[in-house]
Amino acid sequence: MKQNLFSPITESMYYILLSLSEPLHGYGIIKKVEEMSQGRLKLAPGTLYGALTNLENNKLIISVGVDPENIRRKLYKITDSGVDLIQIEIKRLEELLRNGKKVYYD
Amino acid sequence: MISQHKLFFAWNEDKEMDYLQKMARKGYIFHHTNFFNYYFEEKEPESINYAADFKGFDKMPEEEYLQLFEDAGWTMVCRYGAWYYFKNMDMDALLYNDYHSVQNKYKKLLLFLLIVGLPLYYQLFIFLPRMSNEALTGFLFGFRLFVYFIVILHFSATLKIFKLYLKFSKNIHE
Repeated sequence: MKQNLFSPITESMYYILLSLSEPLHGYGIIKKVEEMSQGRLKLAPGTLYGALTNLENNKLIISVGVDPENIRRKLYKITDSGVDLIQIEIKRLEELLRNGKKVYYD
Repeated sequence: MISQHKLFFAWNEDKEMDYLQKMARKGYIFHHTNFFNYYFEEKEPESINYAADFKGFDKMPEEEYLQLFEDAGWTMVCRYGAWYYFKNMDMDALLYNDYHSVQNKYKKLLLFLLIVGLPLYYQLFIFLPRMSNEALTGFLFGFRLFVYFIVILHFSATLKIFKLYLKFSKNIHE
């Protein structure tokens, strides 16, 4: 498997990257992640803010304009390197799950 | 508007937030703060959840930052330097949902302390030794004591926040 120095990423980062397969603003990310995790993960704004700054600095997400209803809400989308990272994470998490199940559930 | 003199430091933020909450329950609603003074408006007693965030030198513009917090239910009460005080009517709401990001906040704070500390340590190690002997009285002596005092304060703040930073890195979260 290809190495990626950003891996492993936190659960919050994972879900933020996953939600940004479509352009979303900060609050849009919070709602989508809550929906995807069926209410389990409620991103807090400090965590989201830190993650967005970090992901943008590392070019894993990119800003693609603003919300037409409120220009203070910037829209973000995942980049190609972001997609690479999340695919590597999916494979890694699959491996963790496979091995965990082998030991405790087979 | 009433004001109270209180000394809180960045490493016991929880105590500061508890204090603001207690005041709100007595009907003193936090309005703003400056240099260890807290100002309150007298209103109906309320349960209010307070939290402070350190924004630091990030490139995200303030309007976008505040909008994000506002959308998530946190209204800004006031700003003091790079510290932003927020309030939320939901008592269970959090500003951070994992230790990793809390740690990141303290990292920003350490970076800030380091940058403001540079001129201070310049004074201590380069400027002060050079003016030795000639200035042991008067204004320069007072200045020297002042620098020592600030250095001690800065050093202990850095140490405490570094400890907090380490505490949050000791978890096994991914």
